[in-house]
Amino acid sequence: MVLSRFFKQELDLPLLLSVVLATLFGIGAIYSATYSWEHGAAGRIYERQIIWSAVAVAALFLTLFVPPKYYYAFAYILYGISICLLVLVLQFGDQRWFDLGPFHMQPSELAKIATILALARYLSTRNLDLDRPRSLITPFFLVLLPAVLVFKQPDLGTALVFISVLLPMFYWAGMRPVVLFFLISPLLSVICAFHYVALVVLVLAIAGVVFLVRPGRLMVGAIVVVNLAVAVGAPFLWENKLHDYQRRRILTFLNPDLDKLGAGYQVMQSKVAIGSGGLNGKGYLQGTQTKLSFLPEQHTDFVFSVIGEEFGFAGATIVLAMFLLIIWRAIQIAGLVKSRFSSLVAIGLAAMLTFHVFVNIGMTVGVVPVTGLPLPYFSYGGSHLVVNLILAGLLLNIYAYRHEYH
Amino acid sequence: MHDDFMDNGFRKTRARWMMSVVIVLFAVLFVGVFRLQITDSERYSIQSKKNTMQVVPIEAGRGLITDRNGVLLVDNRPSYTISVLPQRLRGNTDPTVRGRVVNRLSQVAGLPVQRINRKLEDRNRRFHEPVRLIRDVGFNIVSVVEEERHDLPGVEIQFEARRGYLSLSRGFPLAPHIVGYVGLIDPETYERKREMGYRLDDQIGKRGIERLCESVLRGREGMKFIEVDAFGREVGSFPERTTLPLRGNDVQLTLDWRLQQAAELAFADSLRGSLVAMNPNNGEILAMVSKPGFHPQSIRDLRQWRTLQADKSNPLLNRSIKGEYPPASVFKMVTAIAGLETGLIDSETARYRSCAGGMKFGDRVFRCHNATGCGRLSLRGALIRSCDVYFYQLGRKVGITNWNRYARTLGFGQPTGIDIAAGGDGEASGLVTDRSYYTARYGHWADGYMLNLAIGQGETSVTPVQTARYISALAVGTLPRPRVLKSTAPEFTPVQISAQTLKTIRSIMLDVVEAPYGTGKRARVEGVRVAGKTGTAQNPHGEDHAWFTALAPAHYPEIVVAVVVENAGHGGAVAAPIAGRVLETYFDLTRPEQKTDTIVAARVDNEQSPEANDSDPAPAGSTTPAVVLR
Repeated sequence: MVLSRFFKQELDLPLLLSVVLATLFGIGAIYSATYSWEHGAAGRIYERQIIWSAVAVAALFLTLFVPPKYYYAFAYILYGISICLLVLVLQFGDQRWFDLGPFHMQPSELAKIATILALARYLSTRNLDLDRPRSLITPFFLVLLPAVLVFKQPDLGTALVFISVLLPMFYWAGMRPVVLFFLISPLLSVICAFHYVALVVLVLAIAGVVFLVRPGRLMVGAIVVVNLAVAVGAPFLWENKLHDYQRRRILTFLNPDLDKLGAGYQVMQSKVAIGSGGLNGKGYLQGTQTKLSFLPEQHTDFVFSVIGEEFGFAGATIVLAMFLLIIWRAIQIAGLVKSRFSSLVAIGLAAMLTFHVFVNIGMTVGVVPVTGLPLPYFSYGGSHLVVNLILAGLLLNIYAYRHEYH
Repeated sequence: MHDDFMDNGFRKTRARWMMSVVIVLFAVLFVGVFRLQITDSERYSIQSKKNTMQVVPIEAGRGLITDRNGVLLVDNRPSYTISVLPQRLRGNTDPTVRGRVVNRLSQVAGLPVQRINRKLEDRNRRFHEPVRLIRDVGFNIVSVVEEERHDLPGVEIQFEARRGYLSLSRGFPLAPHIVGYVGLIDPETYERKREMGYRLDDQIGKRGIERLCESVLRGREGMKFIEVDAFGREVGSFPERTTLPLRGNDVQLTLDWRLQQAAELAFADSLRGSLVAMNPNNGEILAMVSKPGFHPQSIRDLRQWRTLQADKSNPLLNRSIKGEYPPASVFKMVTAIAGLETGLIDSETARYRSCAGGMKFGDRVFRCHNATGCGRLSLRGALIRSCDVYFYQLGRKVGITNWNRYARTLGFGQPTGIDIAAGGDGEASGLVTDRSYYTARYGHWADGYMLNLAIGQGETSVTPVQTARYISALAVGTLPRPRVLKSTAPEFTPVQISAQTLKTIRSIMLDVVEAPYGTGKRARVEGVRVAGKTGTAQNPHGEDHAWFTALAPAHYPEIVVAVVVENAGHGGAVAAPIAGRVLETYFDLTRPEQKTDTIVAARVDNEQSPEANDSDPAPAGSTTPAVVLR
């Protein structure tokens, strides 16, 4: 009785359906990606993904039925645990994952959710004045700690995920756009640091905003120091700290012809695969490019190229629409819940999802550098799938308890 | 400044802004997809059909096998292979193409269509590997395929190396049992080794040195990146990406090819048996023959290979380490040493009952091979004449326990640990019995058994390499570990026998060859003092096996030889001349200044002329084994 009423009124059916459909679509794509005309489906990869998705669906429902107040209560503890796991995996694991016999566990996946919960809890504190630099210290710390640990693995893409949720959550928590601009300005400085004309333009822009808004002296000082440090430090890091492959990826992104067989090779093959799919695609399991060429990560990071080749523009658009629907629902939910904490969590999840989708699909179609980030619900990987369905479970949970202040 | 972000109007505005950002980002993706799949779709379709990047493996040369002087025993020779890229056939849009190509290939190469299809559909193959359809094809087929290249998409001619062997003029390569052979990797081995970079139709060492030293000989394959069009033609390459293959390392053997050749020629074609020549001072095998031999290339032809495997004379067996023979009189030195060491006898005093061609023991008569009788003899006389009656009596006195102890001390009944045994052949340990063996088998021990054991008959068996090692122990006083690889470290097992006893035995063995009535006189070599011992093993299944063992020079031994010839009669008549030839060759090679006609004796007797080898087999400074007719 209670349950059927729950399903009628409290369950966000469009969201649930999109997520389930995306996961099923993903299994189909993985099957195709590992399928060869001569040998059928290679290995047990798609079978493992099916087993994982069963586990993940169970995790989704578990997440769905836990009242949000518990997430609030355990936010910091969960964050602490995932930080410990990140430290442990660097020390004792296989850098990125723990080898637990039949499967691997990737603590960075768990850390994404835990960081969003912790950040949401902190930002939902009443009377938090986001204009004061002091109140930004904790959020920065909460985000940078896991980001640095993951960067050391080294996994640049996932490290950026942590940072990507920060600004949207600040914005949602009420930060003024001008402050946001100042926060973004170091990022712009990094990009402009390599070209002095751009740098001059940026400096003028920052000076203009400062003149118009007239923030506190401390703020101005911080902006100047941080931007200077970044503008000087970025070229230094580029020369001395970035891994060769990371540098090459960025350069290759700027000019794919530079390295037709290295990092550019993947992008080139991926573009040819998607492009040759045309309007309607070559048909399921009929993609010549994914079957004949060397796309080493086609069932993980480059799974979208399989969809693009075999289902064409129609299939690619459906996938994009599916993600847009999920993200739109997440933002909607954030707008209607009564709980401050839940609202922030929903925005954080939406931001994370957006970042993943944009970076992953952007990389396969060649508009974003290759960073090695999986496509949620589609890419092969147990921890990743479980965490993404937990993410969906959280959103459904927040929707179901939308009337509670907790 | 808002007091609280939870204000509904505030949230609505911000949600709208955020959604705008999301929509902009998605629009970027959408435009990206649109450009690829709609605007530029044509271009990418063409590219996807025409240009496929391919990784082409570059074969690494296999290491060479040389003899002790660096002369090539096994090298690589070019050959052509016709191979097919199945995905190029499958990926072709026109389904009739595949059938046409397969039919044409079947015509050209004379292979049944089903067999080609079966090979193409092998599920174990790695995806991008070309399937090697026909190896080692003739140039006529190569030229036909090359001409019709345009009509045969996916068909390629590959240049491959195959093994070449230093051969005798009869076409038989030297020491086939030792160098062994390479063959196609079998599916189980492939499963185990694919991680190490083996491919399904790779060659792998199957036997002998080729197998033992597989990891040394095998090189590391290189990679070439090419761009090919839909016809399988190379349209572009990426030379900067190429990784060069790494050739395998060479392996040096302890064999001397000239001695090996002389030894193989010394066996007439009809003879079966084995010869081991070894340096007793370090265990290096100088020559090792097992007859009948075989050609390692036979493995490339299934029918020939089946015939070889079914052959009753077992040509694939390495008799030198796997052949177990009754040692016969060669073993009499063991009994003699046991007698001398336990103080029962000395070498010169005549003892025991006189030999009258046999002796009665219990209700049986034990015969001497010399039916007319040898008379009353000392140990020296008895060994020179190989008198059985003397050894029957000595054996009884020595007893099974002491006899067994000395036989084991001299290395019998246990593997020698020769390195080549790990090349897939394994090594037989032979049989040396003790009292418990008989009680377990027959319920009791009887002295009658000992009489047979004392002359190397009865339930005793030895391998030729064990025998060579035993003679080495007589020569130098320690048991060396025999080895055919230069890189194997020498190893010695001390022998608990007094130097005096060994010296006595050697002096008697010298008489066996040098005395006018000695049984081993046909092993004499001019200018060298050879010590030896014959043996004639009674064989319940047919003719006797002939044995001869020798060490030379008797006073400072450099070489020992053990020869066994199956079903060939008397050791002194058949085996001794073979050992003699090998010894003669050896001393001709090591002391060329003493004699001029080097290897010739062996050659001329067999009416052989040496084959001209494409590699110069004679290193500078060594004797060139040119034919010199007397």
